[in-house]
Amino acid sequence: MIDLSAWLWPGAGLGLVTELQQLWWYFSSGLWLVAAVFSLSFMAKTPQKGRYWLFFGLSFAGNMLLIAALDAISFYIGFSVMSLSAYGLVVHSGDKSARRAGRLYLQLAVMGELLLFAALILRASAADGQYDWQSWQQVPLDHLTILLTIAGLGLKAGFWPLHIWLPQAHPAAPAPASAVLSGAMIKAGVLGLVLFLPGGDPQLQLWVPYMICLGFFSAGFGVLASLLYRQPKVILAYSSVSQVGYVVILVALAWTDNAAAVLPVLMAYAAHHAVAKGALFLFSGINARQRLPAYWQLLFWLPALALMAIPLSGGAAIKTALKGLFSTTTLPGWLDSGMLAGLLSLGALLTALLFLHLAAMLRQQQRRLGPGTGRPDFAMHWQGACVLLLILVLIWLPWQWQPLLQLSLTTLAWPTIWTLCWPLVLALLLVALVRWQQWQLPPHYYDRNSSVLLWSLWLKRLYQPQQQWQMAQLQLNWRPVERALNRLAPDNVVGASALLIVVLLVVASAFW
Amino acid sequence: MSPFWLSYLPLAIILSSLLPGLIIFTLKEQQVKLRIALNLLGVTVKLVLVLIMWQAVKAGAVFYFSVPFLPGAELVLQGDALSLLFVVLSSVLWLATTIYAIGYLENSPLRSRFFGYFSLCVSATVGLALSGNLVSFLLFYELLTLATFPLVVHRGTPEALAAGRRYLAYTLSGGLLLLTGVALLHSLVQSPQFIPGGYVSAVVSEHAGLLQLAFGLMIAGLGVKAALLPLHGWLPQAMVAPAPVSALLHAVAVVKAGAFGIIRLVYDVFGVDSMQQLQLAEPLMLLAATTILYGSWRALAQQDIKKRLAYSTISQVSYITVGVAMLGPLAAVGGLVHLVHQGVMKITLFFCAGNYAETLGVHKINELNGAGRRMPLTSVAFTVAALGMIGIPPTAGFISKWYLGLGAVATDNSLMLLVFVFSGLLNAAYFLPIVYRLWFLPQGGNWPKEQRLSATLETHWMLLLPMLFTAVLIILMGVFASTGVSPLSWTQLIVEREFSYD
Repeated sequence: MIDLSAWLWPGAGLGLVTELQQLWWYFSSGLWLVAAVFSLSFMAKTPQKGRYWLFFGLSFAGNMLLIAALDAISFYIGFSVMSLSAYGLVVHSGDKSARRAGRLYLQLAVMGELLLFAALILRASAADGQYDWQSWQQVPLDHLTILLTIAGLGLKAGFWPLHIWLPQAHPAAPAPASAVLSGAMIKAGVLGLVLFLPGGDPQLQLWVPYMICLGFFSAGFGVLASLLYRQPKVILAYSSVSQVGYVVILVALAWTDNAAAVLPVLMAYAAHHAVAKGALFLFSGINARQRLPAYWQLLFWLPALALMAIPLSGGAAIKTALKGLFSTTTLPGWLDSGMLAGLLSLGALLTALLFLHLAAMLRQQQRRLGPGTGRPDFAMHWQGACVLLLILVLIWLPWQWQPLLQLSLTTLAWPTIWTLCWPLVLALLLVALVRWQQWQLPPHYYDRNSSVLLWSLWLKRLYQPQQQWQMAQLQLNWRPVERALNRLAPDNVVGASALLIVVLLVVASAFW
Repeated sequence: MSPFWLSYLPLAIILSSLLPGLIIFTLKEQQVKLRIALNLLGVTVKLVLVLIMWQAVKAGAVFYFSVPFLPGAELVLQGDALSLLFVVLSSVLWLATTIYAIGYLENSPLRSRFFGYFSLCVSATVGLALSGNLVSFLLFYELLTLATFPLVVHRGTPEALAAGRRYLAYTLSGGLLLLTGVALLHSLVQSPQFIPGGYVSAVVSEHAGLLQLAFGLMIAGLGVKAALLPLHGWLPQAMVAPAPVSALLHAVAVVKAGAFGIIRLVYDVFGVDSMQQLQLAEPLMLLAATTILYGSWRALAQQDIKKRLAYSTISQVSYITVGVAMLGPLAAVGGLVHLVHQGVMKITLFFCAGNYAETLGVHKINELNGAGRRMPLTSVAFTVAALGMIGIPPTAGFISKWYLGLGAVATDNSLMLLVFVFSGLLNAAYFLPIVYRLWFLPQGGNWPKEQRLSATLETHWMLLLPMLFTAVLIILMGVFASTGVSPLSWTQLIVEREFSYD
């Protein structure tokens, strides 16, 4: 731990003190490094490489700083540097859709920044000038601060309804940038929600059930929206919206008294999703570039199946643990734990549908590329190796990481395997049925341009007006008046004026 | 320190720029080296003297110099912590601006006149900062108006002359209002030395109405220079002046003089208690808050770089007034430190605007596309200063906004917090599009009027160096805000002294 309070502000410091920070640091830095290695080859031929690496480096630094921060201001600095630099990654390609997405991203990033600023001010005032996490956790919260924090950090975390930049920014950014946007930066928002809103606060308890509902809605919404799009990276972005929904549920559960039991699951979920989603985004980048041999599909299916929570995967362990948490946490009566478990199974079904849809779209993308040489070159192997590295971590994680190992072992019982499997089987059947019957929505439902772009454009026009209302210039010109008076005046002005002055003086002295 | 210096150091600080200025007037146009030498000599001497004074005031020394002037009001110069804040700011920025102006006006006519008035202007500013009572303040305030006018009209073009007329009309009538206010207050309580806690409390119950009137008149007079809402019209028009003059107007002298006057008036003439009893703070705060939002809103539509910066100044200077008018210690720290931070950030922005104008001939925002590749250092400085203006950490602007925000919550003015957040949004809305154009858009055609001012650098080194110096300061003042040499720690010292009078 580096104590900087003598140099900077009181409580300033960097270090990986809690287990939460350590884990976040490991998976985030790992993902960033893999994405960097991937970019070495993937971005080798793009123009403006220097700019890409500058913004990549800056947002990497910001992300690492916010994780290692031991006080709120350091977190905020890292958060700002990360969010604003990521703009350079989003608009990197420079085409029209990237610029539009970048505009929306930046608008929301600045808004999130300022909402978080307001929340920080309120919190720091309540904490009486202390900025370190420990002192903040002693201070009770109020509803306004909670709302501002959730909105400010939620704009980064990207759950519904604050997700609107995700489906725009992810497809526009280059694949490695999308991987870190979705894998690491979204998680930074989640980390903030855990750090800023300490568990056990009485006011915060009131928010827990609503956040759980929000999380479930986000989880379902993300999947249903994704089914209407055919671009793989848009689908992946909506999948992030959906997955963050579950993370939000875990964050909300971590706000209760049961925090000690929830935090390991939350960490596992975040790390697992980061690695899996990173791998998927990187793969989608390779997939869009060139024709791949059929066995490369494995690079897609392994992380996809992990996210679909197939038995033996990390996803299965986490989903089971989440289900267990519902029964051990005290929740208001209307949130029946049986119903929540049912919703989780439904969520698993939906997730499976999403990935089956994504698989079809990835295949379609390959077909559209036409017959390639079929011989993968060195660059492709390099990129594939990066994805493979992430996948190895993904496979290794549930069996080597102590907290997850316990959970993984419990999923090996037959009833659990069955609960995990039936949504997948049902999803397969559903997809087969839909394909067989060729059920489809009318074509105008698909690939719609999102209305948020219109909103963003409207906002831009609002803050870049061509003209503004202006007060009429008051033009007072006394010269004509003066001339007219001169013309009125008699010829002997001096005499008349002198007379007038004398008369006035006499009158004045009479009245004095 | 000997009694001699305790008395004459303030005078020496003023003379260190006044004398070189007067000598420069007599120089011929061709005596470039002598003029530059005199200028730099003045700056160096002033900085050394200011440094000595700074150390002494930190240690608790009291500087006092007076000569008889009016019955009941002497001409007093003093050096307290608050005046030092402004003196240090204007001396350091004067150094930067002088170097910049030498580079900027190379080979242009009438330089002796320019630098003469330039030095006079800084002397008046420093005198105003060091003045120890309202009458001396008024004197230097008017001198400042007169010394700045020739700089505003320096180019002699019809627009410059029109801007100069407008400037004079505004500031002279403002000066008149201030004079009336000072006279009224003088008739009530005389004009004793500025003192923390103010000196009007004895007559508050007796003459409440008259005190309110005097306050209103003086705020109107000071508000002209501080560009408070209905009185801001001269500032955007004065942007026709050369870039160093704009820097002087916006960051070093004029606008700051108005804001500084408001600080003096609120803390050292009326005092926090009397302000509360007379209910003067609330209207001032609301007026300043309106100015913040109005200035930012008008800045959105400006297509001229310097005009946009001018409206941004209107908005940013009112942060100082808001901070002062909230009457809390934390808010005061925010307002006072913004006096320094805004100065450094805005001067950087004007230096950048001047560099674009001199090197590329660019005056409009839509001509800036791709300038980041042609002039990377200038564009980096612009970006840093713009981010500072928005309040993005770890720049200086964040520190002042942070303390203003804390102060707003501490004094139960949640509305002001909303104003700061919204103004931050507006700041982002008019600064980030410029940054976007600099870095992300390709250059569209040739530059309007490109000049090669340097063989190796992007522009003349004298234009580059001051700008980089202030840009680095923005970051340093933000990151090392809590160390002993930062403006923040100095303002905390001031506020400690101002709020612990009893």
